[in-house]
Amino acid sequence: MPPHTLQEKLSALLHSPWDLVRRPFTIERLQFELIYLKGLVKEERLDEAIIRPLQHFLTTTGPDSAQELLSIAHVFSSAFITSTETRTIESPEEAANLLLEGWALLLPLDSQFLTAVYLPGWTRRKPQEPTGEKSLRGPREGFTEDLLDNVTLIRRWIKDPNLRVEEKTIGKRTRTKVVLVFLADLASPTLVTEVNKRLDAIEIDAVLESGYLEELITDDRLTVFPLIQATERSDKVTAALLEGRVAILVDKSPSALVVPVTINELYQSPEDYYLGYWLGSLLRLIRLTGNNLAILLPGLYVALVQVNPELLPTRLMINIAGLRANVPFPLILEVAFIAFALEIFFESSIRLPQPVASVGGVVTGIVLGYASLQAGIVSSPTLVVMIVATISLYSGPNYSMSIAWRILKYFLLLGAALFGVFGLNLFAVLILAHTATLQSFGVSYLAPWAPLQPPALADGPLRKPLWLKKRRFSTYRPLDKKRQGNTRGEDSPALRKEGDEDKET
Amino acid sequence: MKIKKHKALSPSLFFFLLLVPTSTFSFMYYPLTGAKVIGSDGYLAIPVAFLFTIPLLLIATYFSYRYPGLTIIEYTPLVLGKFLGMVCNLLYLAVYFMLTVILLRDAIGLAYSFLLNRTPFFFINILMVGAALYLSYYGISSTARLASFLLPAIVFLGLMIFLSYQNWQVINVLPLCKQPLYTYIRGGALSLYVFYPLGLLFQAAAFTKRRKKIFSLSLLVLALVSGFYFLNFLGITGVFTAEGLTRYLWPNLEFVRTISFPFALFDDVGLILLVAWGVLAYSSTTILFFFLAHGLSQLTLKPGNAQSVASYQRILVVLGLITVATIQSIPNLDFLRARLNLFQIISGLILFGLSFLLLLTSLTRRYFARGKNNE
Repeated sequence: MPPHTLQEKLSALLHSPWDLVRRPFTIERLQFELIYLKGLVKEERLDEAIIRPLQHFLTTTGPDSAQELLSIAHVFSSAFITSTETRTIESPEEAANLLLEGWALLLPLDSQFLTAVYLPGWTRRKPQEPTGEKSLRGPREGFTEDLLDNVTLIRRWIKDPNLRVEEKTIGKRTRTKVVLVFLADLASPTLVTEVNKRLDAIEIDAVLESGYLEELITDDRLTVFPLIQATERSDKVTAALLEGRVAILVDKSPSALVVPVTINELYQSPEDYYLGYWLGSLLRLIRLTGNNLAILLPGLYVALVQVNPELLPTRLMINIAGLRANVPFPLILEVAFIAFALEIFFESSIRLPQPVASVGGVVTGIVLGYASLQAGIVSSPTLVVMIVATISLYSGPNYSMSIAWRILKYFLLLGAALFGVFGLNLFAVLILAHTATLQSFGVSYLAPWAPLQPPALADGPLRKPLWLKKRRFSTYRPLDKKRQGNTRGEDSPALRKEGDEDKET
Repeated sequence: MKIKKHKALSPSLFFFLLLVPTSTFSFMYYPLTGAKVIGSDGYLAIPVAFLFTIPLLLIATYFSYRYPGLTIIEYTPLVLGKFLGMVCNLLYLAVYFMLTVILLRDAIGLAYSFLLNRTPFFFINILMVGAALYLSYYGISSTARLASFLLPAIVFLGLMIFLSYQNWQVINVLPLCKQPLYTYIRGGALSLYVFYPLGLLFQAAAFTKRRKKIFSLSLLVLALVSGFYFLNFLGITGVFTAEGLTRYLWPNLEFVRTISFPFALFDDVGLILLVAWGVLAYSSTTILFFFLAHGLSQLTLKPGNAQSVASYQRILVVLGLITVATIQSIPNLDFLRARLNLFQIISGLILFGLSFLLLLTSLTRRYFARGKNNE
């Protein structure tokens, strides 16, 4: 027999899973059933948020039967005013969906409607400093797995009514909540429309992490370069929103996605702006140097020692050749051996428990390095070059970028091993040429270098002083370009004049 | 915001699209002509060539206003008629094909001589051409973006030239202006090829967002490159003397090699110049390849045909093969240098002749059309 009542239909849909709680009860001669999924709902609040308000409502309004209750259905949900959100629902499918999202359903028996009360009760992690994006100065608040908490973190930064938070549901089975966050009077409407369009076009059964969306909405699916910025830092996302960019937050993912992004952006850290422009500029230069060392040093070493030794100063060449005399392998094999060994160490150290990882790092680094030198498997110059290059790789603030260069480092090594300095140069230019073809949501990946935007470039390799950043850069085409007025510093003529007058008096 | 293959260029991208090929094309050997014709005052050939090039820019700008959004390939048949237009377009494209071949032959020759003398020349040839085709395939925006990103390489070239003044001696550039005026004009006219890449303006003007900036930007490119080459030429002459520099195949490379750096990582400082110039040469080749393929695609398809925009990519492959074969057919650089004068004269005649022919015909037709309207 097909189900008739809402209760029967709901039972047919849910198939009584193990964690489903159904609590029938009677108040004022009326029968109700409270349905929820254990763990998703905060059980200790059920009494305060549903039962007691219901008792009070029934006592004051006094309906005698389910039919009478149905006649006042429109005011029924208003009884639960102490709850964050309530809805009156007639469709069993919608009720089932809400149940799976952490709502408790209050079902008057034999009625055609029910009230859903949002009482999320799952365990939430407190905001902590993201392990992959640590900084010495600045807030320690990183995103968590809870979407609402993440939006709240942003709201605590930006207290502007123009902050828009638009919700979407993606994933046929996971029904993952995705929110778009942007400042309506800053972000380009074309950009917002494009992000919406790309998200709406996704047809997928599950979204388990923001990485899923990143891969699906990127401009170029084959490139190794990150065309979307992923970050766990709330201050980074806030800064991006204030530049007119759009953030995408995904439920159950602590990584927010920020679009568009340029290669220049991926070498910047919020810390640059917290530490003053001298130190900020120095840090940026160190990062860029580190990055270039990491990418080019192994290739340049192989090219100069193996293919074009005539380009090195004679004494240096003789020294290296002397130290490599006992190594029985060609240089490229030696380099590849160390590179792979270091890759394995790094990958293992992520999985190892923290105390074991630090001890293991020291032991493998010192003991294994010394032993392989003694065994004549590797030479000391190669070891120095590879360790410097590998450590430098992680000097940048963006992990996805480091991964991209980690892959491309081998491409450059190949070019250097095959064609020496010429090959290294050619392969490096090919990588550059590839980046020139990339765009992130309509913005050139190489901006502000290409197209050249001098004001934005002044905040590229070096950090522009805040008091000079009067206008937002045109890179992301913000609607409102004004960032600040004439912020007066101590050296401003007006204040200097006042100071002089004080001295005189 | 899907990437459009041929979206309009911003003024800065347009500027670099012209600057990079112009500053790279003959950088390695251009002082040879001036020094041979004028002698110790050879550097004065550059300001003379600068003045001679300005009319070319004016004509290209005039046509960008007369036929907005159209390239020379599209408006030449409109001005000169179908047959003559086709012939002139082919000659125009032939000049730029030879420019590409000469630039690539130099780049490959340098790589072969200094870095990879045991690798087959053919292999380096294919590598270079293939790599250039890769970026040209993605269209004008990508090629222009790479050119713009290479600003540090241009600055670096300038720095190298500045440092090369270490051994400069004023005696080598004296006496001043000892030649008759005619010699300077001849030297300037023969040095015009240095600025031939600026002729790309006839095609590039169609891709710009702001037509009003076409002339000022191209003049800025011309002035910057002229200033840079003038100082460079003055430096080389001061270090090697005019007679001395003509002994080298790549005078600028030898010039930079005179720098002495304490504690340098490289034994040969010229290598750094090779790397910087090589990167710029690559970028210039991608730009030249793009305009060649785009021009050929416009030539082979009917005007206004929407397909012509994409079909340049197919033409690129054929163009690549022809380029490889042409470079391969040049026996050595001496052979090329010996015929450089001939190329300079013929291509100069084509480029300047075509622009003046176009201008005169266009003005005459306008004059008669106006006369007819008045009747």
